[in-house]
Amino acid sequence: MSAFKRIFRRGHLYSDLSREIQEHLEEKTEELMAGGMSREDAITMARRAFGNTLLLEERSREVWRWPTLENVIADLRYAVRQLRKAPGFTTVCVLTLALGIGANAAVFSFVDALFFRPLPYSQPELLAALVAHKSGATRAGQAFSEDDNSHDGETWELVRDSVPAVQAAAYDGTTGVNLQTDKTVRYVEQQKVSAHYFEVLGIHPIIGRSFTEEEDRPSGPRVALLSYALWKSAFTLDPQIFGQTILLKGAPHTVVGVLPANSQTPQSADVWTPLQPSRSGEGSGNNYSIILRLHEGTTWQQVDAQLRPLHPSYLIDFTRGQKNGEVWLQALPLQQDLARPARLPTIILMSAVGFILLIACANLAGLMLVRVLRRRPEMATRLALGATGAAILRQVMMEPLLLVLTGAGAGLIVAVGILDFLCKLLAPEMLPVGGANLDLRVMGFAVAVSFCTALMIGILPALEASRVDLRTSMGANSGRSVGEAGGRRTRQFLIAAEVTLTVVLLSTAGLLIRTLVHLKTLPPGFDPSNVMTARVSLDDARYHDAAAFQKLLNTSVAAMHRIPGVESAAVGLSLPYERGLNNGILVADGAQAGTGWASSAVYVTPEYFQTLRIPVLMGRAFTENDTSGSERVAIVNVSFARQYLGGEDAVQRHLKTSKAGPTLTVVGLVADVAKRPGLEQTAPLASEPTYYLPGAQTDQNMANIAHTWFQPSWIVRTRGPVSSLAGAMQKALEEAAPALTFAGFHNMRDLENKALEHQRTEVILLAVLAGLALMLSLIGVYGLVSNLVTQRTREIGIRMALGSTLQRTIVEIGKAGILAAGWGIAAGLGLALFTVRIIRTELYGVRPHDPVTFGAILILLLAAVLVASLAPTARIARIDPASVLRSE
Amino acid sequence: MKNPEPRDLFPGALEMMILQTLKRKPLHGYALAQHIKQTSKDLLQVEEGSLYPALQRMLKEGWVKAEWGISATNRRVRIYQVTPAGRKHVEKEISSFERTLEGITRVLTPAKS
Repeated sequence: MSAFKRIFRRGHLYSDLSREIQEHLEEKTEELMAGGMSREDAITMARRAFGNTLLLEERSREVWRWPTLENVIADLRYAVRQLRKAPGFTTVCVLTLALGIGANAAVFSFVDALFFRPLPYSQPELLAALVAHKSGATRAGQAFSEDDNSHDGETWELVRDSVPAVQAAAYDGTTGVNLQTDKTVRYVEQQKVSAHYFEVLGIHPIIGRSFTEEEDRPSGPRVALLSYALWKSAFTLDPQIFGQTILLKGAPHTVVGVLPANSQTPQSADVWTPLQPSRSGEGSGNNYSIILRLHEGTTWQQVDAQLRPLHPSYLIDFTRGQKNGEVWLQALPLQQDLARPARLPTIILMSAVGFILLIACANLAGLMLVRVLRRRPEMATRLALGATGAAILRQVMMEPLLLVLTGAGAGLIVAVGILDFLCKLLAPEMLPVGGANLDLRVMGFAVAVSFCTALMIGILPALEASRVDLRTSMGANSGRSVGEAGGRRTRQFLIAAEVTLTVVLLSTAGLLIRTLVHLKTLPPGFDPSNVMTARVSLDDARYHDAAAFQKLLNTSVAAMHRIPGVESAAVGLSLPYERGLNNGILVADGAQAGTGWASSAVYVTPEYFQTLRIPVLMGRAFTENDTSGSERVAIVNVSFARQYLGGEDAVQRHLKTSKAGPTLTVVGLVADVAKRPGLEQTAPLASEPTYYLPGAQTDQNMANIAHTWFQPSWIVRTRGPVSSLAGAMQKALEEAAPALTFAGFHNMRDLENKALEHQRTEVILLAVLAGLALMLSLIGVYGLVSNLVTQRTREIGIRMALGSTLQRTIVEIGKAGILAAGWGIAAGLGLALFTVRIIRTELYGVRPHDPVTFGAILILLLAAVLVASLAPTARIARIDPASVLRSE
Repeated sequence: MKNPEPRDLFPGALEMMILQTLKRKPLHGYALAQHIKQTSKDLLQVEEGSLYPALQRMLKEGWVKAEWGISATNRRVRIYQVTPAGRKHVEKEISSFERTLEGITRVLTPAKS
């Protein structure tokens, strides 16, 4: 009979048994009576012959039982009763655990989606990203090793043509472009991808097809693939969409396909066009990403063996510029490559929430310990009555297990909330492909974490319980010995451990806060107040020609000027807090003549510096007189002058954008502004060597390429707040250029926040977690001391009766908390000195061993611990020695 | 000596006797108790009730099966019957018991040579 069936048939089995025994007794009685015995005697006799009816029946029943399970259930019932008797304790425990386990489950779902869950593509284990593995030394002399996943057109051609082990595809970043339908213009996200991109990913269009190699050749036909969402919103799911012409980027494009609704590309976009890669234009720089799908049966070694001999010229340039530098191409599993930007922040966050759970565990273990010690006499009694040590242990473990399971249940609800919060908080590029959700693996993790938690909470109290000494525990007035020495030491150790982890979290949060403060207080180099900006996509066929582009700049700026309240208006290719266009520049005269540099390049209209109030330090700003017909001029910033022009007087020096290009005369020197670096990613915001060109003299080829990546911004400065400024700007733009639309309006604060989004998110998360850790630790310290006061009331009474002062008694009792936390702080500072090295790359403007941060943490913790240790001792003052002694 | 379970019988002995008895004829609990008592000529002091835990164990093991029926004295009783598995078990037990007994006997009997 199966155990399952047995449990349900048991009632039946038992009643059969009782009836059978009853019949047996009656038969015996009747037989005895037939032999001439009286009824009473016969009954007694029958009973005696049978033995102990109750016991035998019980024994018979036991045969059918599952003794362990039933004992466990009994223990469970007991634990439930115990917990219901202490609702406060239970609520605190369940809430703490719900928060701890919930946060861990939520963050783990990110870890899972980034590192463990297969990518949402068919046979994802065959997908790879092409990376250039570089190692060498930075300019500062530090050794580095990195995988660079951006490549140029030459590399793409080499990989496409000479690596037969894979199918390769290239793609570009996403940019905003204009899509014109009927009378409205939409700003949509476009991504350029090569032929076979969707095949490599294993995504099949639901309508039409993906791009052919024919369409992917330079100046091939203009075609487009739509996302399901765009097909729905802009074309109302028109089934006849295949072959239709849409007006994208100001030019007609033929729709060749629509992607499925649930398809997840590594970068999300609304519309895709062929990359048409080449070695010129975009392909002359490292602007392509390349993905590979290994042919079935091909090994990674084979792929790397085919990649190793390829030496595109940019790799050769790298080794030439590096001492002992090495570089080669290799295939990196796509999942690893995609997870790279989020890797360190996710590890930091996972560790932080792990710490929180550990700290919570330490607190709860301390509370459990107190409860178990209080039950010592009861346990001793049970042991004396014959309970086994294992039975006691099982019962002690039952309470934490029950708490954790309840906590974990509530934790899953908390996890859903936290996950939702994180998905909204984190930048899209931090979110894993396919999103993060609470799948089975995450559930499994939560269950495993819960059991570990129960073990951690229960093990110390259980050990303590197993040390119950029968004689002392059962002695009269056993309440006295409870919680002395052993229990207190263990709790002090727990407090020290949790304070250690708190210090690590606090130092991490502190350094990140210092980083954010540093970045936020960098001099912006301009006046961000009363400025409104809006971007427009000029990756548009109508503005590819110089005359149309110039006319647009002139008329739109003039129209903005006419808005009431506007003081000045300008257009610039990029803004402060934004990344600039990287472009080469040659110094044409002076000591540095002939040297070439990479620099940030910005075309601007005359009022750009005035509108943003960027100080012109020497020479002049651009004017209306700098036209396409006049002398070619440029303005450089201080960093440019210092780094590339030897720091000498920059005005009247000469530059060239290329060897064959015209000579530019530097007419002005302007202050540096904070920008997101495009040349060297040394910090989220920094000053970069930058040169400015007048919009009217911009080389149209350069502008057209720049417009495929950057959307220039229209900038207005107002005298004060202007109501419905955005609407007025949109109207002004439409006046100047019908069928152009602004892609969102931003003031400079928005742009700064966008540039520091990652840092801000990190600070928010870490500060909350560190605060939580601090709070939990202080609760732990407070609980310890508070408990000591309760337990030692009698001792305190006697001490005071014998003449100890209140002060001395308070110090004596509070010492336990202060000492424990003190050890924790010391250990934590030691540990933090190592752990902060992990976050080194996330720190700017502050050293990992920043004395200010560590000093502040030390002072904060000491003060907090002192308060938490001494506050509960206030009760000592209310202890009346006389009444304590009387109660003896 | 008062002992709820007769420890003077080695473990399994009661089961062996029950199975051996039931092999001859299906019986209900009371009849089984009487039969064992009579056959052993009261040499074995077995509490009648101790049959029942043993019977339950054997039911669980599948060595016997039980069915409600009417006894010779016209009483509703549960009649036990040996299953093939029970037969196999008792044969195995008896042969191993005999071997053990032989061993013990040899050791207890004074050497002949």
